[in-house]
Amino acid sequence: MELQHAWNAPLPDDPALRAMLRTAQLQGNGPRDPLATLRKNLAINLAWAVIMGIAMLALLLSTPSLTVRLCLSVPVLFCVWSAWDTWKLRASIPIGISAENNVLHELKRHLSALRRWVQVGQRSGLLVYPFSAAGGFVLGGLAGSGGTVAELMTKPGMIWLLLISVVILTPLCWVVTRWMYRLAFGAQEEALRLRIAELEGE
Amino acid sequence: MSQAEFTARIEADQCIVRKLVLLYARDEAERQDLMQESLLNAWKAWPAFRGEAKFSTWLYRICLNTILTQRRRDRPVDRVPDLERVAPKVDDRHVQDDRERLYTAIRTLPETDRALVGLHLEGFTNQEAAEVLGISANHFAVKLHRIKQRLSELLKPH
Repeated sequence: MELQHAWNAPLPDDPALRAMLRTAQLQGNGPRDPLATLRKNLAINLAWAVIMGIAMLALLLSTPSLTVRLCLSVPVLFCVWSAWDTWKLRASIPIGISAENNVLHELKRHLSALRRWVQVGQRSGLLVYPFSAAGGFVLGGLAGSGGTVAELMTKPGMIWLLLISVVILTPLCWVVTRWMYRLAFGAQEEALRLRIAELEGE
Repeated sequence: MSQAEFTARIEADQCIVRKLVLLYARDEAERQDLMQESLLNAWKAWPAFRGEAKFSTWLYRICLNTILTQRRRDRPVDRVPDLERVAPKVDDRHVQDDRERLYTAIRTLPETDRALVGLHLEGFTNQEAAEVLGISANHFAVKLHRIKQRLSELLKPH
């Protein structure tokens, strides 16, 4: 078979293409653009960081205890930092396909955006998970005992239990985050990596 | 740069989009999805088109970048060459659709190899095609040689 001859053979008429051009379907975002999904996820993360930050700031301002205020100031600062980091990352991910970039460059750009997203998520996670684990432990303890924080924490061995919870739950949350990332973008990352390797390989 | 002008240029160069999409789509639904995604991205990039490159090259780049970077529905990819299905039987005088056999054979290749052979068959020079892909012209030529051998093997009558 003559390849070029077969390739040049005229294609039959395509009513689907004409319909697409005629019915103004050239609107909206690409439903399968992974970078658009990333930006959407980052916007949600940003909103949560702001909401949590405001809630903790309100709690900080309403409590008279200086110790509690100092403790709450750490997650408030974390929320501010997290929101700033997320905003910076979101701004650095342009959506859409570039006609200026070659295929290899575009594949690497997409892969790099996916990796940066998971890195920011994991970095933030390592800072927030210890607080979440400690908070969950104390809240659970308070609900179970019905006492105050001071009563709970002065019980023998409670500090050690708290530390053990943090040490176990923090990496566990990190692993779960990684798993969720793989579930959401793992196949896409693998496909991009494969295509880059194919193009660069002999 | 109106939508009417965009539409007219796409219609004039529609074969580029359609042939490229046919190298990747596994069924009619995916063909329409990929075509719509490609056209949508072309439309979004259209205001930045200054005519410095040929429209066909610009469109090819957009379509190829779209197809290779967008998330596609998870389905098993047919990467195993099915010689029985692709190659014509010697005694089968009715197999006339060379084009369909060619597309079927190309679809058994890795995804980036499909882009490479598509660029070549579309008439891009090695240098132009290598620039679209982001590799050297020499690397392109080596790969193309290997792919042509593979295609000949796949399409050889048995």
